[in-house]
Amino acid sequence: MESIRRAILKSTIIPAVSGLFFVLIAVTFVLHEIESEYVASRKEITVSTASLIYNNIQIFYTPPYVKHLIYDATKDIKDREVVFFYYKGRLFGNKGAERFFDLCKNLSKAGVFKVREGLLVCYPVYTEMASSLLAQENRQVDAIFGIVFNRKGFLELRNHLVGGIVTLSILTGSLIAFLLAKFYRMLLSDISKFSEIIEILKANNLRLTQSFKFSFKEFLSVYRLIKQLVERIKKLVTELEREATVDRLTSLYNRNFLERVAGRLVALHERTRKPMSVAMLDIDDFKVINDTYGHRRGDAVLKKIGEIIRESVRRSDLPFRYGGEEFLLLFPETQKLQAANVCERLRKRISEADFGFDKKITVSIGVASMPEDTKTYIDIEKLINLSDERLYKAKKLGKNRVVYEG
Amino acid sequence: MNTVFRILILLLLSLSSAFAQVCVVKSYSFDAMNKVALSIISDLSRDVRLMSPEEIKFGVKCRNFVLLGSPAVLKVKDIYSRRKLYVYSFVLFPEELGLEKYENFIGIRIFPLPTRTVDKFSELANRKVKKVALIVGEKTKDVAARYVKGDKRFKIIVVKNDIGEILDKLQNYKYIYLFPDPVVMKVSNILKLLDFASLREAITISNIPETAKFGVNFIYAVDYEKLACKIVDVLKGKIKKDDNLIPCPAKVYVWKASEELF
Repeated sequence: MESIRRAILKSTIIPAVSGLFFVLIAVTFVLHEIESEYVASRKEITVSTASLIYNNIQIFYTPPYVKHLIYDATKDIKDREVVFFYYKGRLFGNKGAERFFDLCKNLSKAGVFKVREGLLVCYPVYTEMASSLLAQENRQVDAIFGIVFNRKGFLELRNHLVGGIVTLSILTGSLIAFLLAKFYRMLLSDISKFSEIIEILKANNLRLTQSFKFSFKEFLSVYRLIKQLVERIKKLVTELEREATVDRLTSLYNRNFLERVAGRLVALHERTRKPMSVAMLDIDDFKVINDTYGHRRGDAVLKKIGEIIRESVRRSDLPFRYGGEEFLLLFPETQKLQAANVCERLRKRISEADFGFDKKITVSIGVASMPEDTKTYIDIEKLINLSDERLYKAKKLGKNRVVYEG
Repeated sequence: MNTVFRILILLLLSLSSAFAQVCVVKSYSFDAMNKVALSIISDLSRDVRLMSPEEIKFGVKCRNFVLLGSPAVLKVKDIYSRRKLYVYSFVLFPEELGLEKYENFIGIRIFPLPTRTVDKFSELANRKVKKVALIVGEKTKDVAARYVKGDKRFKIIVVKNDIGEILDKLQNYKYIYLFPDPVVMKVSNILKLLDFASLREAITISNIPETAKFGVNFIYAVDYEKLACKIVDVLKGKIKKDDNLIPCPAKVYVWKASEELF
């Protein structure tokens, strides 16, 4: 498996090298085409000039006239260096024409030579006949015409064109490279953000402490999906945690949570030397309710009592469902009498509440406090046992009461 | 055994395909010759091989030959065989090729001779032609003289190079015959001659169809379509020959009195 950066690099180099190769081919092809076009155009110029001169001298021939014709027909050919015309055994032309004529004299058709001065184009002119058959049977060269073209203009044109192509290729290549680099930078930036997100989620217990912006829509969608999944996981974790601490029926803390917090609470009170009270609450004759009205109604009673407890206790108090129809109340930094008062108010509210039965529902409560009852700070279990003993005492004394002494 | 049989069949097939009934040898490539060659090939329809003179060599597998143009005739003389038939055309002056001793060479002329041409003109124009200037070059004056031998209507006027040299001599001629000669047929000479003729209202006569574009008044020349048929007929033995040179099938291409031309 390879990294994205490496894969991108690899996938860029191949098209880049191919592009360069194609540019080279294009330049070679253009050079060849320019050369061919140049030669063809010079051939055309030579042929048409030769025909013009030859046809004229067929009507009227004198050597001075030939010279005049050569001058007149070639004066506008800007890149001509040497011009010559061989007719009736006589060579007309400017200086150095003999050398070029020697190259052309044995040709049977138009020929092109690269010479030091440039490009030599030779054109043997055949006698023009009114009959094809006669022309073929008596085919003979009547005149030879040649022009030496300097290649200055051609080379300038060629260099301009090649320079243009190369410049255009470099500009296009640079633009493509710039756009690709930008694209890859954006891509890598987006991908590296995911690595960052993973690190943050790992470090912060699935909490995203910052938001991210993406260049690509697809990555943004993935990011949103991750965020949704994280939120969902967090919600599920919260629910799980809640399930672990809260009793589902009564929405009061469960016994499990009591075991987790009670010890620490006692330790805190012992350190601060502050009082702490506990109350154990039990529904009177709950078994009769269950047996008479069924467990569903019994559960409704438990739920309602849970609500009354939550409404009746102070915000600092901790209510637990201790088990079955038993509830436990923890009163931090509360003296026994204060706790007993809260319990009394609670008992009264419950006994006055309408549970939908023809008889009242009552509760018995046992209250214990430390260090008031225990002289010293003891284990929470022992304090709970003491409150439980007082609860039984309240039951024995006739139920529906709060007992905090004895 | 099976393999030997197969090889024998292949050998026979290759031999039969290589041995053509007729070889058409084309010396040049211009429109009229190409058309005639194609017509011959389509008329013969099978066992025909088209070739150039360069392909003719000893051992070439052809039963009969159609030779178009002088180079083909000259080349085939090297591999002459009495058992084969050689039909040729597109040769301007066959008399100059020295084919007298080759009895199987049958030629079809490529232009009607001057006498025939002028007769045709007289017939068509309904004019009695008494005197015709026959313009000819140095090289072909002898052959031209041979063609018009005995025909007193023709007066041979030889042009060396430029037609301008002889224009004075043409002053008294009403009819000017352009012999198919390389000097006469030079475009520059034809143009000068026709200019002169039009000014003098002289009638120009030619056997070359291509001279029509220059304004020649009367053109009586070979009919290329019939020429192809005639070559095929000679090959098939349909034409009885008294002479080894057969006149060409001809037709009138142009007939315009000088005043109609310009």
